[in-house]
Amino acid sequence: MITCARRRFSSALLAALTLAVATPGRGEDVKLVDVVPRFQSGETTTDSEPNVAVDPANPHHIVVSAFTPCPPMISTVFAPIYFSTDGGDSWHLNCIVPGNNAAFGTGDITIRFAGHTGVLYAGTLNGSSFLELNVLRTANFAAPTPMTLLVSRSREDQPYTQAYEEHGSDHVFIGNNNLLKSTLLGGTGGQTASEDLSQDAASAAPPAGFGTDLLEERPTCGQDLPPVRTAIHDDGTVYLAYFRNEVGSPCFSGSNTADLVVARDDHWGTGGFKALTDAGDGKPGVRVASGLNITWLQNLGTERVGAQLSIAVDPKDRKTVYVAWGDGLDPANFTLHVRSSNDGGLTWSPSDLKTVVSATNPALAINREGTVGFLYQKLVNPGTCQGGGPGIACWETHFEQHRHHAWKDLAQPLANVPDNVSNYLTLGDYNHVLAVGETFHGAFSANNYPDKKNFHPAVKFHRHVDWVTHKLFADAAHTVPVSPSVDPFYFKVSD
Amino acid sequence: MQIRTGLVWLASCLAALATQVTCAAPPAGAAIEEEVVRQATFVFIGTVEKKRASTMDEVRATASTAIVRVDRILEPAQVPADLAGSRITLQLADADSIQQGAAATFYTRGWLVGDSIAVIEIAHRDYSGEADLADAQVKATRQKIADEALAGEIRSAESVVMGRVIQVKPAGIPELPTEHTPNWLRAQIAVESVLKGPSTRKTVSLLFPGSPDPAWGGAPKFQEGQEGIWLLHRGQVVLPGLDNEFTALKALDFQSGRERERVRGLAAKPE
Repeated sequence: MITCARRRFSSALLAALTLAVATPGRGEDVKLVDVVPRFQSGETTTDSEPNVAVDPANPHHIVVSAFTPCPPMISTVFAPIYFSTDGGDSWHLNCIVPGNNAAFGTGDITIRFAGHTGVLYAGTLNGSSFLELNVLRTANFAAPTPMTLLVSRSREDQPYTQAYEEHGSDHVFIGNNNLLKSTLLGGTGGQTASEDLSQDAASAAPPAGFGTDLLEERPTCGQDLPPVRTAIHDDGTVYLAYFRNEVGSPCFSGSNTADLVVARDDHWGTGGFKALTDAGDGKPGVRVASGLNITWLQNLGTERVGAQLSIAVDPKDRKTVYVAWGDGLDPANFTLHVRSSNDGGLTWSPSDLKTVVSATNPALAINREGTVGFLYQKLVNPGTCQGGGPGIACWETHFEQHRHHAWKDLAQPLANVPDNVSNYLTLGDYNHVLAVGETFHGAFSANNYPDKKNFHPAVKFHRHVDWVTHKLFADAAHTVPVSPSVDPFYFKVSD
Repeated sequence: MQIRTGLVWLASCLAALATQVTCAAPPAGAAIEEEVVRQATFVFIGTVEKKRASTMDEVRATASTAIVRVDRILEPAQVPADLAGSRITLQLADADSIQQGAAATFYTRGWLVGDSIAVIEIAHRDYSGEADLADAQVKATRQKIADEALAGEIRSAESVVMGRVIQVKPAGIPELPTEHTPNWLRAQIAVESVLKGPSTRKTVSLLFPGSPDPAWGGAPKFQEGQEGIWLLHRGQVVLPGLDNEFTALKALDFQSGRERERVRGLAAKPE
């Protein structure tokens, strides 16, 4: 009798422990949605490199972009955005972005709302024209009217959009790598890190006030690295981060040797981003770290790495700013670093606040409580994901929060999925997270192999799925099977 | 009279489409002109089940919206698996031009895809059993459009050859300093016949991007042993190392060998 009771107690304890591990942590309110709509259940494209925009004036309005071609019954000319008008519960495709190719939609694409105008902005590489930058806007992301082209320019790379509305004026910033200046491509100067900006982009006729600021004033090996990232404070302080490719760098021959530079402007970018001066060389932009050896286009798992960067400013304190980047010559050990400044970018933490090895796609945001949100994707080999067999490498998508000097991960990763569904650009060169009020909103891409163990318990799919047999289907009757592929996911985290 | 009426309507419709998303229904009895088919992305036979209604919260039910059952899909071939028989939202071109319960062939442009689908009517023809006729017209128009596009690509090509790839190897061109670098490969083609251009070629080489990057998502890729027809261009893209090299970067620039007579015929047509 005593033995039976002891067994019952042990079983109950084990069950309780299991439940405690499986249940999201206390105070953790997570939404996680595969944004592929139900009527797109048959799709198998690699919808990687996602971005997210949330209307700060109406946070139920959310837009996600990714490498998604438009369904032919909708359009062959315009690429889609995914959008939700109910806070991320349901999702739709609307094909309004010029430059669709049948395989991927556009090239690089990033999107952002500014504020009360409700205008959605996009920076893209046109999917029909090699390296053609398009800056676009729409006042109604759900309408069938194509986005308006504000700027078009060739020989550009990785446009990254940020925006902020101030008293009815939309300040819009598009970080980009202006390859027309690359001496490696026949240009002059070799200083390519740039920012296109407009102080009032919502309604004026094209180019809607957009002009180009060349950021890089230091000599380079011929061209800076692709990413230029922007963080905006509501008082008009704007931070930029980019990689200056040092003179003597291997310069894209397998790797680069770069400085991480943070520049600042104190009035919406009108001052040319010269508010910070490096104490060492007197040039605009503080070198947060120098001599960074960064592998170039080698693979971590099936994902290329070599140009990952993010920056965020504290909405409560314009002088508190965080930056995250990836570096390392060995792609298998590509390492993410997070550092901060509390004096407006003049000085930086001498060592990492967070280090993650074998990871990519760092994305930072800071909410109005000063909590830092850090999204990243880590390759674990072998991992614990389902659907790839024993010994498979797995991509874990993590979202950690930093407050009271401590980092806290979600009770379970947002995703823990096999690295076996695509042999190229499985995740994309970036993902994104932002904060509206206290809430973090983000987007990442992942293998959609349908096993609940591979996702945070909050996960929802709209596409047809059988979670028991771990199969995807094109139809409601589950008669047309669909192979796993890469889907974009939206998530929201709030306390 | 019917044709003239149809042309007058068509002109006004095209003018309207330049600035707004719909145009008025064609006058009764007018033939659906080819241009309507050209504008449409989704053509189907359907039944209006409920007017002033919508299947999607994102499309507000108004006098101009209706729930329509999709009875038969005429095009495109690639549609969601559950679309036939489903109910979708149609934004009517003219709210009074069709009644609840009526069946019609709808020529539409796609709009939203979600838990349902919303489309925008360009025009419709009342349905009285002529599905095969409508289907044939749509197919004929699409073939015409495809021929026009291919003919244009043939015209811009310097040479058009039919043959087989006998070798693929790295082109030896330095990579571009961007993640979108093409990774140029060189394909050597043994020429079986020349459909346009100098007829003395026994072999020809072209460059194609080996990179799977999205920037090159639309460019065909080739492998040894592959047979077909290549439309060869110079200057399709201006990048280092491409001086005087042939490329075939658009999807139309590679055709199956089965298209030989079609390509030959299009190449022979006067401009």
